Amino acid sequence: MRKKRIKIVFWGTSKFAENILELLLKNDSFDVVAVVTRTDKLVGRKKEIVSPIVKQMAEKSNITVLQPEKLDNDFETKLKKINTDIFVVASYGKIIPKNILDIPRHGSVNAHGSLLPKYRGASPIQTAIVNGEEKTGITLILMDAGMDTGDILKQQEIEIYADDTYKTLLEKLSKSGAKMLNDVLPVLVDGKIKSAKQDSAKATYTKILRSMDYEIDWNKSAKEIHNFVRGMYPNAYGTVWINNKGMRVKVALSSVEYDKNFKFFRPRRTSLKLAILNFQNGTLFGYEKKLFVTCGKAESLEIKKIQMAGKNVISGKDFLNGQRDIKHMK
Amino acid sequence: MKKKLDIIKNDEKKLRQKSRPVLDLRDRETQELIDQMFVAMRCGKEGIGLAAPQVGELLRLFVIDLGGKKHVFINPKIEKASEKESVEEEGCLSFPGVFLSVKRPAKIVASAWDRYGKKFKIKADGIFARAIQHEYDHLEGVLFMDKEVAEIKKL
Repeated sequence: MRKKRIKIVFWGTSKFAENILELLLKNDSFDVVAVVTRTDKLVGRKKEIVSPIVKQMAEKSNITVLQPEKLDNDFETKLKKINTDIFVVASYGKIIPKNILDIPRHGSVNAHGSLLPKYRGASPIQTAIVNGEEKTGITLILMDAGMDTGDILKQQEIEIYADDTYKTLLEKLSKSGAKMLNDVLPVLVDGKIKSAKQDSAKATYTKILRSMDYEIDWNKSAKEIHNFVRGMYPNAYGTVWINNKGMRVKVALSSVEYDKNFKFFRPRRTSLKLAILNFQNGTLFGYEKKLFVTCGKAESLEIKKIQMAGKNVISGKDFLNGQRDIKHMK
Repeated sequence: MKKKLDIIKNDEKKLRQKSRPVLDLRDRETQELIDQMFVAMRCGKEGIGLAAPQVGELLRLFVIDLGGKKHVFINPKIEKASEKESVEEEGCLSFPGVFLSVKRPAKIVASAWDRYGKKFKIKADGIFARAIQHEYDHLEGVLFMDKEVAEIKKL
C-alpha cells in the first residue's frame, strides 16, 4: 500500500501561483482538493470577464474552485467541511485571517519570493531587481497572523543574473518554490520538520504596486533605471522627450552594456557630452543607429525595446527609423 | 547474490492469483526476499506496505513500514475485525497514480509469524489496520478496486 496523499487546498492568483500549482498537480503524493483564488474581474473597455489563470488550470483538472468575496464566517464554515492536511498559499493577494489559517490539520504554508525577513509584502521579486540585488530566493514559512512573519521551514538562494527580468526571475523562483514544497510538505505532515524564527529586526517591506509605481524617474542613473525596467517588466513607462515634445512610452528592454569604456554611454568627446547635457533628462537620441535616452548623472541608457501607447513592442532601431525628429549624434 | 526486485505494475491478471503458505520461513531465500521487499517498497518513499505476490512470489508474506517499527507478516490471519467501518483513500504500489476510497473495518486483530519464526498477535487500528488488510487481500488475489466505494463528496 502507498502512503496517503497529502490533501491540499491551494490559495493563489498570479503567474507565480500558477507555476507552483502546475507542479503540485504533477506530484502524485499530493491531492489538491480545492483552489481558492480571487474573484473574476471585468477587464478593458468591453468589460470582458477575465478569471484568474489559476482558476482555469484548476477547472481543467476538475478541482473545486472557490472565489470568496470576503474571508468571513460563512467561508470559514465552508472550508471546515473540506478534509484538508495543509493550505499552500502562493501570492493569493489578500491577508488571510488566523482563524482560517488554523483550519488545516498541519497548518498553512506560504511560498514567498524573497529571502525572508528581507522583502516582506506584496512585490518582493520586483523590488529585489529594482534595488539591484544580485541574489534573492524563496522562503517557505508556516503562516501566522502577521504579514510574511511566520517561522521559516526552508529557504533557498537564487542568483539574479544581469539579464534577468521580473518575468525570468519569477519563472525561476516559482519552479524552485514548487520543488521545495515537494520536499517539505511530506516532512511537515510526518511532524518531523524543524522551523526557525525570523529575525524581525532585519525585516524590510515591499508595497503593492499600483500603476503610478511603474513610472520611470529619468533623473536616476542609467544603472538604476535599467534595474527599474528589468524589475517592473513589462510595465515600466515614462514620458520621453523628442525635440522638446513629450511622448508616453513603455520601455520593455534596456541595456547598460553599450560601451564599457563610456560607462553607460557617457561620451568622451566634449561636443557630444555637452549636447547630451543640454537635453533634459528623458530625451531620446540616436547614436550609431541605436536608441538612447538621457538619464541623471550625465549618463545615457540604451533602449532596446520600446512601446508607444496602443502599439506593439518594437526594437529601438525600428523606433528610430519611424521617428524623424529624433536627433542623431555623431 | 542479491537481485533487485521489480514491483509488478498494472497487471491485474498476475495480481489476481492466490498465494500459497510459506513452508520454511527461516530459510535463506525467504530471509533475502524479506530484505529485498523492504528495499523495493522504500524506492520512491511512498511505500508503506508490500506483499510478496506484488514482486512475483506467490507466497503468503507481506511487509509493512509506517516509519516506525518494520513489520513482517508470514502466513497471516485476520482473527477479528470490528463492525465499525471507515472509508479512506488508498493507493497501491502496483497501480501508480490510482487512488480510491475503500471501506474497511476500522480495527482488527491479526496473527502471523515474524521473520524469526515466532508467532505473534497484534491489535491494529487507523492506517496500520488498513495496511494489514490491504496487503492481506493481495495474498488472496483481491485488489483494492474490488472494494471501492463511491467517492466521498469533497464539499
